[in-house]
Amino acid sequence: MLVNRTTGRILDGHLRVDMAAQNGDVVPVDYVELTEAEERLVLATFDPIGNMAGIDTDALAELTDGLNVGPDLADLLGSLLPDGDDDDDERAQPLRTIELAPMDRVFVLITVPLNDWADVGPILDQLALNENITIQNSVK
Amino acid sequence: MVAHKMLDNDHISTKIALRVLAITRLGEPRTVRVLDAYHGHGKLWTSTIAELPDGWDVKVLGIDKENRGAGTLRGDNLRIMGSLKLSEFDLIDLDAYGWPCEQLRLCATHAPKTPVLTTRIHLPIGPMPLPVVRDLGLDFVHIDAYPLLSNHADLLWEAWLHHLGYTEATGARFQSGMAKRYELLTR
Repeated sequence: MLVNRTTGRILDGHLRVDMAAQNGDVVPVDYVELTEAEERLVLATFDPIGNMAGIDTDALAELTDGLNVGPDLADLLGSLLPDGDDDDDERAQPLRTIELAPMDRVFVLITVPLNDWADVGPILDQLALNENITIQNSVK
Repeated sequence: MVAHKMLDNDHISTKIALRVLAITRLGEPRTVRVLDAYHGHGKLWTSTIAELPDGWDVKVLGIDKENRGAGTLRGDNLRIMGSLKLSEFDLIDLDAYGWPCEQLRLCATHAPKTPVLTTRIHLPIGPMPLPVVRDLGLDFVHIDAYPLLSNHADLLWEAWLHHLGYTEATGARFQSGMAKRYELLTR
């Protein structure tokens, strides 16, 4: 299981802990040190990615409410929530035509050790000032 | 918890309107042949035909993985499509539940001039189909990175359609948990 040392909360492995408690088993623990804001972000994203199952939208909204995240991550989290109710969803929409074009972007995946984040974070912040560059899912 | 419906015919008004447009764009009213690769019970095309202007005679060849009775081919649509002369059809319908990648690639390769109707459904933070990311040169080493592309699913879908040779997409997009696109692809 995964525990946030700062708050003492379990971030992942709740079911395994419950089962271990019933059976008297020992569970291996990984500790992380996250602020409360970072913890909420982790809790908001862990389950949907891991399970690809249904989403408790109320709980997700509560977790992400007031959370200071970048615009792209906000969009990503927002995409988990239904827009309007089902009645709106069933209405016919006007058809529109778009011209298809080739890919005009490059996607770059950067993995940074947390210990080096203090050096790299400001560089990404500078890059993000360019309106054509999107920084997605960075940890701050 | 929110239960995401996966109905055979969500947004049926939009889908029928798109199919009526697809048929009427084929020119003067006449007999036309449609390949419906995700036929189901055929409700969508039955409803579409009822809405068409006079003069159109639509012959639908359906494919479905379930036994749907006379007039519908039962089996894997990819294998059946691979054995058909796709260019003989006036219109091909890929009303899929996810990304109809390999089916659309077959259409683009063997019937490039034939308009194609597509339904593309994408789950939030769902994985991107490997054929799409690889065709676009996004073959990351780390498979875990693919969900990160999910936020750009529409951009990648449109770029991939262009990669297949389609130049225009007419349709509608719905976002309600899942992102659904209903389109008519032409070149």
